[in-house]
Amino acid sequence: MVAAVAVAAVLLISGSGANPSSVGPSAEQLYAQEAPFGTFAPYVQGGDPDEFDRSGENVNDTVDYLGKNTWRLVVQNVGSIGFINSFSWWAPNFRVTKVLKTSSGSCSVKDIKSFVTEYGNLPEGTIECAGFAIAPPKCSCEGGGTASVTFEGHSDVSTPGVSYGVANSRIELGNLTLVPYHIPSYIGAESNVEDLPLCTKGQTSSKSHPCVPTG
Amino acid sequence: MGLVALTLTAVLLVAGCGSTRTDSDGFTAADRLSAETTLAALAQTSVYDTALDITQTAAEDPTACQVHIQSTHPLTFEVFMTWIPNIKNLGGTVQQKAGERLYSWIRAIMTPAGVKGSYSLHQGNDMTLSGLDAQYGDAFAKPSAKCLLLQNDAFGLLPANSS
Repeated sequence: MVAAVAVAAVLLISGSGANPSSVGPSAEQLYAQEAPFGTFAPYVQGGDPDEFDRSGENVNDTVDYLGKNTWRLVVQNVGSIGFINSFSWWAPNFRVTKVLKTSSGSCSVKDIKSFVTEYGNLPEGTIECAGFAIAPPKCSCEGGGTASVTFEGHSDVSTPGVSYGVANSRIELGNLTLVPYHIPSYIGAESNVEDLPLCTKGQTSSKSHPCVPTG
Repeated sequence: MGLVALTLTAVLLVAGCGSTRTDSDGFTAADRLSAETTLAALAQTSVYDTALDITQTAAEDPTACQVHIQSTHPLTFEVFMTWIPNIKNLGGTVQQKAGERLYSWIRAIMTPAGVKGSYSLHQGNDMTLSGLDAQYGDAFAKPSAKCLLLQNDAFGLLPANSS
């Protein structure tokens, strides 16, 4: 009798009742908890989407004129993501002729391309950079690491007696290495593993030697 | 008594973690539990923050969210997510490039040991759809199950046959 009950139990459990997918919440329960992508105010024609709540700030960039057609681009990581490993810098109506120096990694000049704007098609100079590990901030309330690129270039617009600078340039992030913790939003917040040392080049984090990969 | 113990052992073996029976995603029950453990660990990293951030800036849910068993010894999962920006939600094409976002992806390799084991966490952006397509690799190759980005620091693993 015991054996018969047990066999019946085996058959029941090994049959349809033992579907591996039966573990955990149902699809309906999970979809009900799905993160929404935002409830935004209606778009107003002519507004700049970068100033809306659809935007996120991960990087700041500034351009200094050093004289003699020499410029310095400084890129700062201000995001809650991780290490910035590669990025591109674009400047309309500007021609980059040569990269002179980088703080780390390497950068190269790309061919001028046309950029579609509300003012029409503009030629755009581009610098592409890779091999960086620009550190994220310890807190999203402050800035993180920086990198700099010094280059030669000049405006595509020329008017006698007028010096043109760089306007409407933009940064596009390429690859990033995410950090194994949440970057806190206020100073002094308790974080999970942010105090771990950075991994050396080629090192991977392990149980015996935990570290934070940077690229 | 011996018979009861033997039978109970058999019941547990067939129903429990020892089972090698796979669902339509190619996962065993033990694989699913391990995948959920891994997703919970991943939700405590900036992978979750980044996924939420991209979902907001792309104005769209993830186009893909897959949990692929990359290796079984040790059991290692590849969590791969992509986003194709919703230009309409971003305000149409009036501002052309200003309203566009890049195609984005996240690739996280992790074991159920979480950040105490070996892992790699990467995010990238591509300017073209073909560039994004090139990132997929074998993320959809079985065993591979669909996941969801949930609210409140969590990822969910969808049951098989629920796409």
